[in-house]
Amino acid sequence: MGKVAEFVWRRGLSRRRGPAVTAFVRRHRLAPYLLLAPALAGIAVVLLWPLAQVVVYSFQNYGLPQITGTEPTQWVGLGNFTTTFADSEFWLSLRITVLFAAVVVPLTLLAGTLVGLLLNRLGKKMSAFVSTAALLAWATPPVSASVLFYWLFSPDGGLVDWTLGKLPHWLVGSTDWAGFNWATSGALSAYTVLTILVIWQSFPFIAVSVLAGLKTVPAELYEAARVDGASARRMFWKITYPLLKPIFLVLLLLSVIWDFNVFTQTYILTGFPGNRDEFNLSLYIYDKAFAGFPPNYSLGGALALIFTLILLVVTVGYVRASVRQGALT
Amino acid sequence: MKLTRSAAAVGAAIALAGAAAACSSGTNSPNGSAAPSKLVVWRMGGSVSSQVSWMNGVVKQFHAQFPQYKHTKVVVDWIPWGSRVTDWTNALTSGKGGPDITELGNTDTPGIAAQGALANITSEVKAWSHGSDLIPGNLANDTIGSSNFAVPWFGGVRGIWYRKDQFTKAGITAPPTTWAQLVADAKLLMKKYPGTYGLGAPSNFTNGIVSFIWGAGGQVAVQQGGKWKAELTSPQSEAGIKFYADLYLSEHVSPAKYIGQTELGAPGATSGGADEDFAKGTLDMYIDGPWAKASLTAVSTKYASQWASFPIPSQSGPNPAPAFAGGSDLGVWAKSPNQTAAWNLLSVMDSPANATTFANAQGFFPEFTSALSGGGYASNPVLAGFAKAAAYTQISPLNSKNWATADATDAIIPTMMKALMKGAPFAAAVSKANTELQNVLNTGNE
Amino acid sequence: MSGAGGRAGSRAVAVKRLTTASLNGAGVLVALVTLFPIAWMVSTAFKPSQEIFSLTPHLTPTHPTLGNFSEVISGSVSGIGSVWLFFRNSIAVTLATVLLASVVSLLASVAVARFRFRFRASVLIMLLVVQMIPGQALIIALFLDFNRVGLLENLAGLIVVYAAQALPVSIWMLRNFVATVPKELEEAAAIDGASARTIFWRILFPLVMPGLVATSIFAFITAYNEFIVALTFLGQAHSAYTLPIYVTYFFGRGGAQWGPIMAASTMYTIPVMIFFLIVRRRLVGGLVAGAVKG
Repeated sequence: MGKVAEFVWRRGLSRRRGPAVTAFVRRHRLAPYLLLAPALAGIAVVLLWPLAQVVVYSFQNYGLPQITGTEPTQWVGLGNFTTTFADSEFWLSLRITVLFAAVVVPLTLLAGTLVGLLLNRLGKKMSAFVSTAALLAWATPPVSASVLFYWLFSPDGGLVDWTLGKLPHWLVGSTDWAGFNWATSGALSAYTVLTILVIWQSFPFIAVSVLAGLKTVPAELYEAARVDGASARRMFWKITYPLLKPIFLVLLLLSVIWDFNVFTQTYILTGFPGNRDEFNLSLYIYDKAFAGFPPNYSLGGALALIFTLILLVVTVGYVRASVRQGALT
Repeated sequence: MKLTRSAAAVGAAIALAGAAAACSSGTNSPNGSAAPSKLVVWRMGGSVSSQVSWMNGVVKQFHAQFPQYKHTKVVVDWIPWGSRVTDWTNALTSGKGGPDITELGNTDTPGIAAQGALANITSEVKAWSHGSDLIPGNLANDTIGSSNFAVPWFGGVRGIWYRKDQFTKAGITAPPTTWAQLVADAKLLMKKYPGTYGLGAPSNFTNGIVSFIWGAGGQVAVQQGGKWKAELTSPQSEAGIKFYADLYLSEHVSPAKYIGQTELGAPGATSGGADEDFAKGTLDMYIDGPWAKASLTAVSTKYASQWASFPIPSQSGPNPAPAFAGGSDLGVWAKSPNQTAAWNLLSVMDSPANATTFANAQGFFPEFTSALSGGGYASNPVLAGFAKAAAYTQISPLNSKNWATADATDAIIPTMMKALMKGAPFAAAVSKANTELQNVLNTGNE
Repeated sequence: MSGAGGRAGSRAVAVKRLTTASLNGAGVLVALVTLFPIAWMVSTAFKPSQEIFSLTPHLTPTHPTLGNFSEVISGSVSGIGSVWLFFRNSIAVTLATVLLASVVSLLASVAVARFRFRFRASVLIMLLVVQMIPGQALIIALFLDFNRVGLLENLAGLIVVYAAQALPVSIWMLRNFVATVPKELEEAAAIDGASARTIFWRILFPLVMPGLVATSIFAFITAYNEFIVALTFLGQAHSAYTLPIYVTYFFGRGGAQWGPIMAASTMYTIPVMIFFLIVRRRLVGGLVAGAVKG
């Protein structure tokens, strides 16, 4: 801080308010709007306007012939939605999406919380070591991570199949693991890999957030409880959990949103567009809008709208949780 | 465009000179004469060095034959078969980023042309001295109404690759001609060569699977009164579908890992599946065309001298199952700003001499009547079986307008086959695919 | 008595030691499991191909080679160019995104943290909601719009989208930092007749610098990792590919060339890891502030 600022700082501490302040505020009444303008413009153009257009598209027949001008754009009412609801692949992709989130979200939160608790109890050096390792997994870009896991689980020379093939049958079952095709032979095996991959990439964030929350819990609380002879488990549920509950809620909602929307990893692992029985909702939308022949932006738009509405329910929960934590003050 | 202003000026000057010299050639389309700085050719599949050197030769000829383009760079982009439709439609939507010339699977041409992606080259083909030598049936496949949108480049059929040394050791004296023999031989080979599989049956393999449907006397779909009627549920078609699924399910001659794969591995990949296993020697028989030789050799040449082929057998012999008359076409991209230059390059790529060299080097058959009758295909061990198969071919309904949607994007037959191999109830899965297929084929006005 | 007390004490010490040891053991286990896939990627990148497909895989390369890297750098395996080209594209997009997002979100965060105005609460809630809009919902209309204005197949289009997508979270994060700067500082400056610009640059800016670092990291991750927009926008415009699209392209076409593929993804991954390690402390604080506090 420069000398001027220090001077200002000192004077500021005296909390004197003069007419100058009022004048300043009055002079700058438009300031917040001007300051916000670039951000709002960007958000409007890239986030809000496209969403509004998608709503319009979803009630039209907008596709390749409409872009090239060979056929006129027409309103089709709820046509795109009835087509979607009549498609068994839509329901399959929805089921895969929901089941995947239902498995991955709790597992990620559990793994992240356990590591967070562990980090809190480790010595300084050890804690730094473990959190650095976690940081590296987190830093791995999704594309790298997906390609890497594809290789680890590859039927031709992949390490996982090799290891499973070496293990005794009583442990890993009688499946012929050497050459087991995880990624494309079916949704169950593909999403098993995806589950491991997504947990590997996202538990560090949970762990770090939980750790940050734990640091805010006064140590005296634990000491008092320990004096009273409380077990570690009891302390977690009576002290840690209630204090971390708001953080857990936000982490839960964020995880649901993220895991509902896994595109990059599923795109690469399932060899898009080859295996339609392994599509989640994200891939299904992308397929309808861009990869299908001919591409149908309206059908994709209707799907995107449905997807957004599903996520909106979670988002409302997220916003309410954030507001309750005093986020707006 | 990284073209600098001065380079463009030089190019334009050369183009003008060239155009003045060649102005009597008769191919003056309105946006014709300026020499483009580059021409982009989309090729399908993965880059193979022999194809690259062939293309370099073509470019040299192109520059020599058309001096006005001697500064035009020719860029080849390799598009995996798995993403070709997305890449075409994205280029079509955005109106740029597209090629000047594209290779098309012959089953793609009608659908892609119907979307307005390809330039109408009727008059160019008529004026082309080799146009009349093209196999008429195959040229008809690229024609909608009386307009021509592409020209056949090479053709090919799938057969079954095997190894002579393995057959000899297993005591198989003649290639199988019935399904029962085929399975028996596959099992025999597996017994003689423990750790190998007998016959690869990837689920994502429509162009191979149709041979089994046809080989039992079934049809995929037939045209009735201007409408398509899907025929997957006929007893003959079901027999073929069931036989193929059973190669994995009950006969166990194909490994589980091919479920969800194409013959080349994961969808979109250009190698790494049954092809690789056959080349390495862990798969005894492999269904593909003669063109596979290049990529098989790229994996391993250990057994290359033993490779041979026989046609896909029909259910009860003795004639082979009809093979899908596959192949590739070349078309000029409708939105290419360089229509004339693109057609000129195309005409060099597809000249009878170049097309024949290409076809022979890659294991295809040229699309010119004159070249076919002169080739020594029957005497080549790898090609002999395929040449035999080429006598029994079928293409319908794989050349219908909506086939690209039914197969390349909706993957109706692959999805059905994968479900069957994963144990889905047979009748329900086939009838579901049948309904979907009929719907898709009849979408729009056929 | 003292003997018994000593025994109990030593038992307590032993129990404590045991606990510490098992905790450390668990820590090491977590770290190893976490690091293993990364180690495998790097190790594969240095292996010659016969070792990659060897029947008994080894953790470390027996005969380490730089061959995979030189193939990736020469561009001979992917056929669309050297990895450096895509590296440059990614860095350009990322830096431009960080710069644009930081400036715009700083201005906006001052507005929401420092001023009371009519739509303040609505703006804040809107920011929370828009960051949740799934990419799939936006990509369709964005693709068609950007197509109309010619922003497909170039890096500028990506920068615009990435910067805007980073805004909601960046503003939320920065808002917390701006709010911690004592208001009196500004008021005092105002009394002294300092202009708004002076206040911003001389007082506010140095104090919110740590916050800017945190938001920059967020924008960095957004731009450097982004996949679906780049995939859709760049199509076959190879020379504009960013690293993730290049790696995916290479992966799809490369068949089973795991050596070069792992070399390419190592080159894609290592820089961001180093970056993360450098900014580590701020990263944790910033993200927690942004994500947990809202």
